[in-house]
Amino acid sequence: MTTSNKEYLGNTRQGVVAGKYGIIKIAWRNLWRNKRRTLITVSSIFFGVIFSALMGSMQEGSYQKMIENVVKFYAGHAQIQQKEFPDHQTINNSFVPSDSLLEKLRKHPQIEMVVPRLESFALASSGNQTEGVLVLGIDPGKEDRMTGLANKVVSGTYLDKNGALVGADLADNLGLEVGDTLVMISQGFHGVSAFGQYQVEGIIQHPNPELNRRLVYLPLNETQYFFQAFGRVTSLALIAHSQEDMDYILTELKQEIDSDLVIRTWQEMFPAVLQQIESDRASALIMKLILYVVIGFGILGTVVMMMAERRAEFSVMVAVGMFRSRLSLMLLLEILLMGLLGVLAGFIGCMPVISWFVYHPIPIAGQAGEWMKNLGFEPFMFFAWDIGVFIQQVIAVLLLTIVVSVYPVTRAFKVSPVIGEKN
Amino acid sequence: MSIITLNKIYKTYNSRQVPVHALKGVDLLFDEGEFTAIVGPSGSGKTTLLNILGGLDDPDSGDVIIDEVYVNRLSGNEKIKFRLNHIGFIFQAYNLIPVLTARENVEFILELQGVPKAERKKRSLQLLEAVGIPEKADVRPRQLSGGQQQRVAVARALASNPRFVLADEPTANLDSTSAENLLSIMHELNQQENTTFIFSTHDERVVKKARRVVTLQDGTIKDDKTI
Repeated sequence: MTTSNKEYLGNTRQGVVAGKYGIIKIAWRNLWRNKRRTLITVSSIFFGVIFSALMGSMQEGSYQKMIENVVKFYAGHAQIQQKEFPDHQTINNSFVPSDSLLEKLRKHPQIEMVVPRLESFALASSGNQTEGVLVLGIDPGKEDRMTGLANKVVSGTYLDKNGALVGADLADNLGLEVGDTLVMISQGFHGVSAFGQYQVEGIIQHPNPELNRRLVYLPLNETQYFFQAFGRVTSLALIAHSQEDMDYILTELKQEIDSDLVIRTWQEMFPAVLQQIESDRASALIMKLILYVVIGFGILGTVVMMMAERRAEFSVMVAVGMFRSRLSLMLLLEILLMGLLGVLAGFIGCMPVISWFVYHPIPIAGQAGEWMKNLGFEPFMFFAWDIGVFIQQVIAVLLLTIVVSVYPVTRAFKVSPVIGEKN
Repeated sequence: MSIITLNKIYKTYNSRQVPVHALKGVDLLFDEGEFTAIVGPSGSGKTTLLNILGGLDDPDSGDVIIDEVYVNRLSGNEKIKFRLNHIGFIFQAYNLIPVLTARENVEFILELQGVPKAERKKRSLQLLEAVGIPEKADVRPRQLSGGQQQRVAVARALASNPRFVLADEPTANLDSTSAENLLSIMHELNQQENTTFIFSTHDERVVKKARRVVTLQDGTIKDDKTI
């Protein structure tokens, strides 16, 4: 080749960047050359996205409900406790919250509520019956706002200044009714003897069967008096405006509390819930992976057929001056467009369904429902609007199309410009 | 003046099993503005010669020199660029891009060359007019007859203002009227634009129109006549 030959090769960007819009146009039109085949392939992605998004939305809905149960009914987003309390949950590891701490927490813009609790164990009896119980001293107003406790009263009234609320199963076991007297003895703060008798003001149906059998709610002051633990609490439950708010302020709070106190998140207090969610997510991921592999083979089948049908056409394109890289790009675009169509159709299809189920969770009847109730969960299949579910579909289909594209893209680089010659 | 030189071209297919010697030391020169037919029986090496001439295929030995460029020594992408800018192709089966209209098929070449949109449109319409089917500009290939498709193929081949056009059996799939019309158009373009046309053909009508006829037999040049 002589040096003057360069000028015959034309602009070096020719065929490389030129015609990018043309390629999108050709790719798009190529999709519709065989409408039925494209529609079938897009449908497989569509159904995959719908199934996967619905499944993901249902999972996230149930996780959110599970977390909400833990946060709103038990732990709060976090709790401040005495340092020793997590390992030795006794009244002796209670603490007196300082005014300055309470003031800081109350004024913190991210904290919605601070709910004090004092808990310990006692022997409760009525008539000849005796049961070991968990005594929970609460601020009735705050506790109700946090847990909706007043709504769980099935007979009698919610807590007054010196009465007691007992779980329905406990009431049954002790033969208690509203207005009856409950006698309790225990060991108070630093070993003092604790004794008290309380009128049953109300009976609650607690969703947790264990607590329903064991729980006695008393007003906080009354509990402190009973255990001779004046001014003390075993925990300050913190409700933030959102989980994100709590995550954001956690470090700051850890620095602000006294050194003999600790702040524990619900995840630290209930690690099993988190583990269950994670393992559930992992098994669902495997299901989705299998689903998308099946869809992927469907797309690959279409692509292999398409490549075989258009071999002569690809040869002509390269013969008349199209770079193989450009041809590869065109094929990649065709597959990406197909994936995009499937995802979009899937989103359009599943959005109204998910929207409906977010506001109308599916009730679970029969034994399964009872089983859920016994575990302390509402017997419904909840759905959630979670952007992560949709992003997951986009990423999955994108990865899928890229993997499937490897075949046509590599084949395109081997296309011979001689028509009829094997590539 | 010769614009194309074929220098001792050898090409063998299937060399590892039963070798087929398609070209056996072909030497040829083509001048600017030629209207040449390459004839010969099936298997004589016509298509192989055109493929090598157009840089679609490489000879086993020998050189293809076009305007001082050793085409067979160019890299893959350089060959593609060379074909884009200097050679027009017309295929036996038309081989238009089915999803593009007639005008878009012509524009496709110009788009690859990076020609601006307005200019592309103007030139593609001019070419479709030159081949006598301006009214079919927005029609897709499947709605065109064989003759009309081959006219679009001619317009596409001429889109880049190539130095020469290679046509492999361009009239093989056409009825006699369409073939006549197509030949007239190509002849006219050859006369007016001085574009070099090289055909491989079996068609006597094409041979009659040609000013030079190269006859191949068993991979060698049996005859080379200028009429």
